[in-house]
Amino acid sequence: MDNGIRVEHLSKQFQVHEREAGFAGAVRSLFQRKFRTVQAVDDISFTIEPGEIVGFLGPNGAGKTTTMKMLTGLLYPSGGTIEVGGYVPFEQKVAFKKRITLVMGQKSQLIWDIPASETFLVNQAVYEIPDDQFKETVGELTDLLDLGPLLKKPVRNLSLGERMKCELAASLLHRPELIFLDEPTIGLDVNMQEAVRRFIKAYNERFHATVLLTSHYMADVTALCKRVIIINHGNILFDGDLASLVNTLAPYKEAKLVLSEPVGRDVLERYGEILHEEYPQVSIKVNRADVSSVSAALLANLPVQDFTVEDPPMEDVIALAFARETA
Amino acid sequence: MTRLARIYARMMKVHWVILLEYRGDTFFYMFGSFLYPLVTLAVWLAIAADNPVGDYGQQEFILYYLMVLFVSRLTATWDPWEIEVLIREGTLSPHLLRPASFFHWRFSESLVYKLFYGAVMLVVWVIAWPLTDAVHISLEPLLLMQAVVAIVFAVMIRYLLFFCLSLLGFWTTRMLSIVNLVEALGLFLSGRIAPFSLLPDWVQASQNYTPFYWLLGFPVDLLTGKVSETAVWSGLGVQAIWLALFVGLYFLMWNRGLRKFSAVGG
Repeated sequence: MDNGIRVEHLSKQFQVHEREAGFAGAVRSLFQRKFRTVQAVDDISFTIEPGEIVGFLGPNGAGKTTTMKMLTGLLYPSGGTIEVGGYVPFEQKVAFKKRITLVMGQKSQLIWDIPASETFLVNQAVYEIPDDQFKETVGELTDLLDLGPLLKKPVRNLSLGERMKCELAASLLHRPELIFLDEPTIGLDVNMQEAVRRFIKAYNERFHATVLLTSHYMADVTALCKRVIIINHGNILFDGDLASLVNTLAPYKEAKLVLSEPVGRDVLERYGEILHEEYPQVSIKVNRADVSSVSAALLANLPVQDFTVEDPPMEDVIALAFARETA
Repeated sequence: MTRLARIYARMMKVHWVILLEYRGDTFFYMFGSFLYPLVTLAVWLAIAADNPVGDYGQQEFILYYLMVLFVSRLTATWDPWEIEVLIREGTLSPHLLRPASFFHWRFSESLVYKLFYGAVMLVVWVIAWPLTDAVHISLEPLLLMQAVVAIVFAVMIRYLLFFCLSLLGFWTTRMLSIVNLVEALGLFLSGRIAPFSLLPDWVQASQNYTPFYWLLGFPVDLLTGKVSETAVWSGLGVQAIWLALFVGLYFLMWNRGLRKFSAVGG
């Protein structure tokens, strides 16, 4: 069966009850309820091929989570069609639920008062995982995520990072082929983020699973996703290769120099726009086409101690995408 | 069917672990729920000190309220309070993603507590039997069987009634106030405040069109031998009808509610 995702003209509106602040406002709203329609997702279409890892990016309130919830059947779309792994999500068929998982960094499925291993056992029964497969998967996940010492402790005594690891394990016990990750690394320290990323990558390769991931950490995206979909105000701003995103939106690189003696701003400006200057460090914006000639000139003419050319940070590129939309 | 049995077995085991984790709370809930019938009993004992009230002398009141205590502990549910939190905090979503109904998760919890409380109360009952005849009921096998069926029906109807009320949370944030109103109504109409036969005619007539008598008064009257043989069978029939109605209402509300919930955002 096909693990792809097809979304056509998907939209979602919410009716939001508006209430004015203060006592008088509360009284008024008793008699006269004001509703405002919010267009959370506005006519978006995309296709994700089986086995792809796609980053789903956008600022808070862009419509990422709403889209994820529609893709997993939690929300009923106001318009458009969705097909996930050959199913219509909102029909909530048991066979569909067994093929997907949604990991929400902020909402836990683990049972709070008892060890995570108990949640695993409930999931084994609910997802009808055969005993030997269950043992094997728990063993693998325990190794990959280093869960050993965590599984015996009540969930409420786990740290945020430890809980997230158990959460991931609980969500993947049934070996879903379509994985939706909403902020899977939120609140984790750098090492843990790295471990979770490695794990997602390994899982994707091992089971050829399709992964759609939202994250505020660009490192998650650059490490995992070849392709990104950028969404804001419910619209898709960009859908394509991460590399081509950088090329189209930021057709420049950053030349970073460490100078051995001060150089005047007017001299530096001849080579390109100065992004940052704090002696001895300087960074200069250089058009992609001119990178080699400008680099040669910089090295030849200035007292350069160290020199690198880099792509602009992802955060800046994404910010450019949003800025371009509002312009 | 075996799949459902396996799911229940596993969920009940987990709820049992949680119950043990919170054994202190479990203990207090149990005895807390005994206070209300005992206080009401004390009032009726004072009133019936000299002359019986209707058919009820002090002895009858004691048996009646012990049976109220027994049946109401078994039929107690607390889903509205739990489900209100899940809906408000949005933590219902993980349950909705699982390929087993949320209902089974909640009901399996309720079953564990019912079995536990039921076992404790039966043990106490057996110990008390030779010590006082206040706890004696008829041991005729047919009557006992009928009583068990009536209690099982009462448990199911009350559970579904309050589960359906909880589902109002999909539509309104004032669900708990509605639950409290229904509870207050039930206090009066179920036979908790006074045995049903002592209540005014219009309250007795309410059993024709409200479920409350069938949730408490009927099984208690059955246990205390106040129901005639023909009335037992028709009473069980009425319970079966209420059960079927609430099962239907549950499916209707769950499907509609989920759509509503998913329209406004989880």
